[in-house]
Amino acid sequence: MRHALPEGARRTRGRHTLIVCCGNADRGDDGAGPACADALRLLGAAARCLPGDAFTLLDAWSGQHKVIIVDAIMTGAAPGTIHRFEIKGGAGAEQFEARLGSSTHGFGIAEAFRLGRITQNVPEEAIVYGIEAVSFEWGAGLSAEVHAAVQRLATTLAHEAAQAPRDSAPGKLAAGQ
Amino acid sequence: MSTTTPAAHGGAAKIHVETIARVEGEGALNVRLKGGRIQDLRLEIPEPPRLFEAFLRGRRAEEAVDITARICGICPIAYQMSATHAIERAWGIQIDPQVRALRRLFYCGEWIESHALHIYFLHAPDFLGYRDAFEMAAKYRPEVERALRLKKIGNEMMRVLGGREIHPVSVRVGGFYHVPSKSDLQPLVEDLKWALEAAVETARLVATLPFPDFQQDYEFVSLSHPDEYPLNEGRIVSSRGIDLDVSEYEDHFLEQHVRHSNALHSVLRERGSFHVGPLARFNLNQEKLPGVAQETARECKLEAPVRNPFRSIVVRAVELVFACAEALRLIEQYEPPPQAWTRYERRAGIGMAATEAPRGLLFHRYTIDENGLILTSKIVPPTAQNLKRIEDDLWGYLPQILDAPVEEITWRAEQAIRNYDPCISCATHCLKVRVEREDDIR
Repeated sequence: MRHALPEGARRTRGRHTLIVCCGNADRGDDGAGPACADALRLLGAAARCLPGDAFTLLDAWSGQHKVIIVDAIMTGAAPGTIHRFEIKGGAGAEQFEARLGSSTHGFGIAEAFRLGRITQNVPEEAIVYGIEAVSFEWGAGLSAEVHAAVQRLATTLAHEAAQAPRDSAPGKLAAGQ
Repeated sequence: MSTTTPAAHGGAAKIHVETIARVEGEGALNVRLKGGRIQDLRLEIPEPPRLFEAFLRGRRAEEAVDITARICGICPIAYQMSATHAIERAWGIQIDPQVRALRRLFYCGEWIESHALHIYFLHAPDFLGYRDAFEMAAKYRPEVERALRLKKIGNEMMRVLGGREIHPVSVRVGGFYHVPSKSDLQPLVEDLKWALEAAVETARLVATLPFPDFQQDYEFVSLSHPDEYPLNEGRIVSSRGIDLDVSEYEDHFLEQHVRHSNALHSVLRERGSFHVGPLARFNLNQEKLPGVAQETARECKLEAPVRNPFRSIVVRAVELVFACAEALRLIEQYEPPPQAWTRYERRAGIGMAATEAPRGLLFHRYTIDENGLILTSKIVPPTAQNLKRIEDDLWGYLPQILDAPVEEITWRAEQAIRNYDPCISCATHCLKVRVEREDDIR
């Protein structure tokens, strides 16, 4: 039996930063991720928008050195609070997992880190930004608090992207990501 | 783990499985035991109805293809296939044979993705004693990597043919909006050759799992086609002699509302619960599997009729072999059709169709007016057809294990439910399992 992961998937893609925004735009504040991706694009930074399930995340970050993930979160903090979790080589995902609880994406971000550690497919460096949500009601738009938080976070990320050395700028991954 | 058994309390206990994990959606199982017997057993589906059939009214019939795909993120192609075939039947549209083949290929992608997910991530941990697939992955890393790649290959097929992996957008009434060239499909071949090999390995692996000794005298129901393993068309047949055109489905199958479930329960009018899904397809169509799948089934000691629902994991793996082999055959024989879709006239009519979703028969019916607008619709997903059967299985299975600790009874009940890979989101939404001893709650 050949190795399950094809050679290409095991090769590193480089040291650039990938921004992944997760969520469902039709589900209230779960649209924080997609809204952040839109805002980043307007600010000239590239971001990839994904539903947030573990399998597509594992695929997206395969071979990636640094990944920034944006998703809605519910911990009981004030709506619009931006939580920041640093995960190095998959370590530290537990504290994020404990805060996050269950995911609206089935096997979600926490499971992606668990599975990624076992299959040795985690970015060396990951930062997860969780935007504290008010509601995940179907058909509702973003709450005012989350909308404001999305704009703040997108501005910060776009600024960081612009300041980053060229070989690690998130904006470098626009095409095909 | 508690070692207290219902027998230690005079056979009295309440089993309430509050959250059934590793199923699509949410639900709950309540079992009340007294005197060592089941007094009551309810698979509760508390989620509100999703009302798809209601909000399809007044929409253009063509829209049903994309609207109903939103019922499920795991099997959207099944919904697209049943919807488009039903509307094509209503309007008398004959699709190009290559379009038909392409749809079958598209469906294979969904089967590969869905079956790989269920076998490795949802069901195998039950048999191996792990809480979940992530705990299992620590010991079974190569197998989990295999599952990830299998799932990815299924997704890639859906992306190539459907434009994207989840809720693809290429299917339309009469055919596809866009069909691939031969060269578009070629990159899938090497992956599918690997997948075929991996699927055979999967079957060999799951055939060695420990299976509870439990059999039921099911009435199996599936599509049946004279020349093909059932997927996108055929007559509806059963192990007790039903042989129907799809248009006769509602003459024999009835949906019932039960108080504890917002998903309707399907029954055969004359005989009650029935069983759809891999076991039914295999038992009624085994001889139509391609050689490699038949050989795998023999190697795994599967012989129709398989009546142990726990062995559905092996049958699902054999179907994974089928889907990979069938996809390779279809790609090899593919010639792009002269037109991506057949032109048609809208007219008043009624169209019914059933296809085989990964979890079993999926029936759609549409009544359409002269302007091509939907007047009424009916959608019967496989999980709704299996819900009563799942309850019946639990009535039969749980008495065998009532001497076990309550935690184990809970585990085994969940495992028995997962034999059906239920998609509560399709049937309405959700699933939970809770165990309570009667003495604990007094």
